[in-house]
Order: sequence, then structure tokens, then C-alpha cells
Amino acid sequence: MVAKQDTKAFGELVRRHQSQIRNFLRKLTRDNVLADDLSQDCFLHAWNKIHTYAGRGSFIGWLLKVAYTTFLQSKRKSNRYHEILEEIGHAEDINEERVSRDSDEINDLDKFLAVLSTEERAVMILSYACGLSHREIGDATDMPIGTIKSIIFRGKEKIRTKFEIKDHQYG
Amino acid sequence: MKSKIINMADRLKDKQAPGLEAMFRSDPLPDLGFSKKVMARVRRQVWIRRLTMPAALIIGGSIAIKPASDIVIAMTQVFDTLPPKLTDAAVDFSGLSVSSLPHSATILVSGVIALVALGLVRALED
Repeated sequence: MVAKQDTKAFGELVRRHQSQIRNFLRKLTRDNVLADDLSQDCFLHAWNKIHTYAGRGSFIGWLLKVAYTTFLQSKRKSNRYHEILEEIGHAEDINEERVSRDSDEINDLDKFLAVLSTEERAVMILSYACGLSHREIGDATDMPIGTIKSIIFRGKEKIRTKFEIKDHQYG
Repeated sequence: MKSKIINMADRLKDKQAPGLEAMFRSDPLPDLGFSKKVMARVRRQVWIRRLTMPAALIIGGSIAIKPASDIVIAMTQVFDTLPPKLTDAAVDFSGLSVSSLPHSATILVSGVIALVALGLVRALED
């Protein structure tokens, strides 16, 4: 139904999966407004590429892959934007504005996520927040399973050493 | 189901998984008009796609009509300069008189209408 570009069926899928996609992107970007904008873009990309979903694997896994790709595209554009701002000397003003806006909403998870690289953050969120298997994460991020395992290990080590957490203290 | 089994195998060796999952867990987000916004954008895109082809055909047709009619007129002038014997032979062969042939402008307008109609049919199919 959806593969034939049925808007009603697709609307149902959006309603069903919006929470997971928005939560994933909120954790990944640590910016709720940006995350919701990216979520809209993600669903629009999903609508345009729905014919590429072959039915293998879970639909949410495929949707999270689209969301991660949308995030990476936006990040590339944003990096280019910051490069241009740096060239004209406005980058510091923008960064200060962003920190002051976000500082009110920082929680423990934000602190943990802040020590991780973008790649580590994405893999950790996909694993522990979205509940994807290592293989599904590999499909979503186009990385081999071995790399996923080592990224998760590295991410956990970073959190452990940075916040001096012992195994039993997680959570 | 398969995904859950693989997931379980992934988790068995991971003692910190329950703690990490609790830390990463978040409440489901209420929709609050999000799906409506997405579907409005999807429908807008669908309409833009439907209208793009016919609009392009109309604009392209309106731009091309002048040079195309000039070409047709020039061709009819070339046809008029041909020796009468040659044209009479051609008309005799087809069994038609020159006056019964459609005017060049009629052919052109019919062509444009046919193209627009084809474009509309394709857009509706999409």
C-alpha cells in the first residue's frame, strides 16, 4: 500500500513511528527544535524512497537509517555553514547563543552523550534507546558488526572513565 | 521476532545493558500535530509533482509556438516554390487537393494540445 504512494497508509506509519524517530534525533542532536525539523525531513525522505524498502528487516530499522542519513546530511551542511561563519568571524557569537539556550535543559543523559563522538552517540542510542540489534545498527549506519561492537565498547569505556562509574552503577 | 532473538544474543554478554537501557530510555513523545505537519508537506510535494509536468509543457509550448510556426510557414513557402508539376503529381498520388489539407497553424495547435493532454494523463497516473 505504502510502496504505491498511498498517503493515508503513510500517515498511519508517521503516527506510529514519530515518537521513536523524534526521540532518536533529539538525543543525537541534543536540540529539540532541530530534531523535530530533521524528523519532518526524515519522513519526507522516507516517502520519496519508500520503494527502496525491500521488506527485509524491520521498518523502524529502515526508518532509523533514513533518520541517521538525514542527520548526517544536515551536519555536513551545518559544518559548511560554520566554516563560512568562521571565515567572516561570526562563529563565536553563534556558539555562545546556542550554549546559553541549551544549558537550562541539560540532564544526566545529555552529560553522558556530550562526551561521545557523533558516531558513538548514534550507535549507543540505536542500541540502548531504540533497541536495535548489532546487525540492524550495522545496516542503519553502513558499518560492519565488528565496528559496531568496538564503538559500543569504546562508548561505554568513555562514559565509565569520564564519570568514574563502576559496572553495577549504570542506571 | 528474528530481530528480538538477535537482540537477546547481543545483550547476553552485555552486563551493563539493563542499566544503560534505563539511562537511555525516554517517554513516548505526544504527536501534538507533528504527523499533520509531515502529511501536509507530503501532500504539497505530491501536488507540486503533479503540476510540474503540465506546467512545463504549457510554458515550453507557449515559448516554442512562435519559432515552430515560423518553421512551418517557411516550409510552406518552400513547398510553394516547388515546380507545379511536382506538387500536382504528389497531390494526384494521394488523391487530395491542396485546399483539403489542414492549415499549418491547425497542425501545430493540435500537436501542442496532444502534448499537454499526454502530460496531464501521465501526471494523473503518477
